[in-house]
Amino acid sequence: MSNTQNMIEINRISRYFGDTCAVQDLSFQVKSGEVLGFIGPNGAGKTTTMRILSTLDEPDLGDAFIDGFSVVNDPDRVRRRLGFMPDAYGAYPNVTCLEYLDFFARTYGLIGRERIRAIRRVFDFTHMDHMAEKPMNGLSKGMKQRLCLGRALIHDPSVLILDEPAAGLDPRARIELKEMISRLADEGKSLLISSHILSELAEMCDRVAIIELGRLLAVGSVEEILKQFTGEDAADTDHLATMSILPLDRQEELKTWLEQREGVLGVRLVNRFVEFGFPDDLPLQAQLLHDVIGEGFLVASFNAKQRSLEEAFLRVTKGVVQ
Amino acid sequence: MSELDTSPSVPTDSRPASSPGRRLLEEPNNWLDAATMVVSDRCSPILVKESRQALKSRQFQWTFLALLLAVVGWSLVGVSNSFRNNVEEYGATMLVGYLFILGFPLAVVIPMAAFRSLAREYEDETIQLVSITSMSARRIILGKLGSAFLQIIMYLAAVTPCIVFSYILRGISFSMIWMGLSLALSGGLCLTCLALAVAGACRNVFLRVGANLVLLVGLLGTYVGWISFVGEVFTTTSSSMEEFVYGANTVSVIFVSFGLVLVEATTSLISFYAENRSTRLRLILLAFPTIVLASFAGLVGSMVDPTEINFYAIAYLISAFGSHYFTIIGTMCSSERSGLSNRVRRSLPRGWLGRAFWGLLYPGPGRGYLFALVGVTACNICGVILLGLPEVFEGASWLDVSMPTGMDLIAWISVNQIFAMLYLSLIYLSMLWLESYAGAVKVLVGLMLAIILYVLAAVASFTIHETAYYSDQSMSSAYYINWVAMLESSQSSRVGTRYDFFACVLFVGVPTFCLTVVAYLVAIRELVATATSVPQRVLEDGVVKTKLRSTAKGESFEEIFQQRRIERDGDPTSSESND
Repeated sequence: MSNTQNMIEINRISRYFGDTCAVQDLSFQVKSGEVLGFIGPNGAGKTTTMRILSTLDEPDLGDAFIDGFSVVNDPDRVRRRLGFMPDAYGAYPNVTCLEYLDFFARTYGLIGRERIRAIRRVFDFTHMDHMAEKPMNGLSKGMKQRLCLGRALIHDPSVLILDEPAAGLDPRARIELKEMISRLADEGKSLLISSHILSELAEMCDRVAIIELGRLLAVGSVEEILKQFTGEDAADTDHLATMSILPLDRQEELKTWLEQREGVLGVRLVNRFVEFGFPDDLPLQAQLLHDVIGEGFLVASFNAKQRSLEEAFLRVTKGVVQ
Repeated sequence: MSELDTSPSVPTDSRPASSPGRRLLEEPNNWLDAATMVVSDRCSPILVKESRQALKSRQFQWTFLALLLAVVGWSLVGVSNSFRNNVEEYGATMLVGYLFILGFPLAVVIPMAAFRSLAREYEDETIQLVSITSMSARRIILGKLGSAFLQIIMYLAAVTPCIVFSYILRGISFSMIWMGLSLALSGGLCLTCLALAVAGACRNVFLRVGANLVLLVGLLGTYVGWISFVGEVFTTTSSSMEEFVYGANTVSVIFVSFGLVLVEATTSLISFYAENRSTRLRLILLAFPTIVLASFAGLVGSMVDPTEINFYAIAYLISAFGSHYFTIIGTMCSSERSGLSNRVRRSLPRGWLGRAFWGLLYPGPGRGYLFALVGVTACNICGVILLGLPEVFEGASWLDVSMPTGMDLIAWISVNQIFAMLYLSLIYLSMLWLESYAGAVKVLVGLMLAIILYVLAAVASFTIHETAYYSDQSMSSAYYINWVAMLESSQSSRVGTRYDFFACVLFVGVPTFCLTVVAYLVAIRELVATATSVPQRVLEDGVVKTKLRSTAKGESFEEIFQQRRIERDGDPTSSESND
């Protein structure tokens, strides 16, 4: 299998629930060894898409493929190549962690020594060996999440779909989870991850796909998305500044002044602020402030921050919930 | 890996490494462990998991303890009673008590546990985790059933010494014990299958709560019925009871075969839509009436003198049972969703002859409708053939040709055929309309519609008759739409002249025929669908393996990753050595 092969390929899928269109004409691909962050507001259609990819649901239109197999027509082949971690833990009563993994290893047809090795591998990977005999229901949320990741890995799938894996975890558990995901990504597994914690997702993902109202709004790296939605110039600058001055009626004058200045790009008025992008250069920033004040503008506030996935997300989405 | 400390922040387990739970992680080092592993590998994963869960659950522990206490208590009470009343043959009374006790877990506890087990999979959303594994839906259901069967065996094992004890007390035969146990076991299994089917059908939380209550009441009612049956049969009949044993065997066979139908139906309910959910189910639905009729034939054959066999009665039975049976299942089959998945289309018969006959077993409302229509017609043709048998064997001494009138049987068969066609066509066309209007419909909607039609026809005919006719006229044209009333009238002198009866048949028959032609023409289009080719990627993957064999050889993911890296990029150490 070549590294450039599409391990996940979504081809114009649509899913309707009555009159509500959960997913509409959605298409994107995830290549082998790539991590794609899947973000969108609540009710955007992320979970529906993930359920379709995991053969738990079916598209009304279109098709999706895992390693070249249709999720609609060849679900059994897809399941052998796929590990899915839904947002619900799916715990069984009166079952220990070891029995839980043993059960799922059996469901994937792993038998005898092969099963024992698979369980050991998962315990080793998730650092849960010491928890083997703990009842599953007594685990903390972080431990449950680890166990569920272990369950998804028990048959060593080439594609992993993780729905909100970091939801509700404390910072330490979150960091541990991120570490595990990074290790999996480093070793060539294709991952599709949805999360609301965008800063962490940006660190883990090669690309992100932004979805709202069931439609794909953007897909690409964070820089590419910013470029697409804020103009080419703005994407060349990695810091975004907002400045307010007094009196307010001089804002237009400041905008014009900034536009003529070298290194400042994408100047625009947002409410009572002037927003613009500029390079990550502290002396330049200090000089800029000095010059603004020198021009007689009364600076009331100045805030500069690095461009982020949050910004891309906020720019792309409208926050509409259906 | 980063240098961040990702070691777990939870306290380590202080239990020894060789504790029983950890044995799952140890490779077998003696033949017994190895054999146990091989056996457990052959069992359904669900069976293994549920057995572990059940043995740890309080519900099982308390029920088992209560059963033990009850049988011990009953043994003490029974023995003391027999001594006090100086009764010599007290075995039958003891057996009845043991069957009462055994009946409760078998009729109530185990089916409810099976229902809860599957329902809980939906509540806890664990069903989706199991559904995306390599396990088929059938294996999931059979695993649940196997777990219930294991519990049945355990309860039975607890009661067996007591049943042997009751045999020693005399007054019962081996046949009686066989009859009681076979009925209890087959009934328990059938009820468990029913409970699983109900759980599979009720995905909605409100439906599930309602079904839970209804099922519990139904199971308790069944248990009360069991008590009445056992009390009546075992205490009032003679110890030989051969006729009851035959009857019990027949009922047991029917219970088990109906259980199989339910298992297959549940499997279809929880299967992924793209899978072929119909062919196996329809084959079992075909086999079921055959088994029922063969069982009854065996029962009649064993109990009745061959010279007294009444072929006409059998013809009546086949026609009535077959028509109603295929109408009921036909309403559900014709409520299936339209269209075949590509996966199913790949497996369609290639030739037109195969498509015309074998194609009826494939999914789709049209195929379902035609399947039921063929079933009804086949049953009624069987009835007609049986009608002709006396003529064929005319002169044989064991046939009484003159006993029933042939016209009565023809009328009976005509009514069954016409009404079955009417209901099937009406519901098939209604479901098509409903699907085009409201999207995919559930198979139970078709059944509900059929029940509504049945009831409406009965109520309407009765109401029209009561309001439009004088009460002294027992049969009127208002009853033309009532299947049961028409069947009754076809055999009754109340219908008046034969001319009137055929007028009734014509009144319903002509519109039915027209409706059937329309439905048939719509349905036949489904059979035109041809097989599609198998995609290249599927061919490359080879034959579907039900068991996944991991290619991983390493002990840890790091080792596996390392191996893959070497496969992908080549072995760096070898290049160094070459240099």
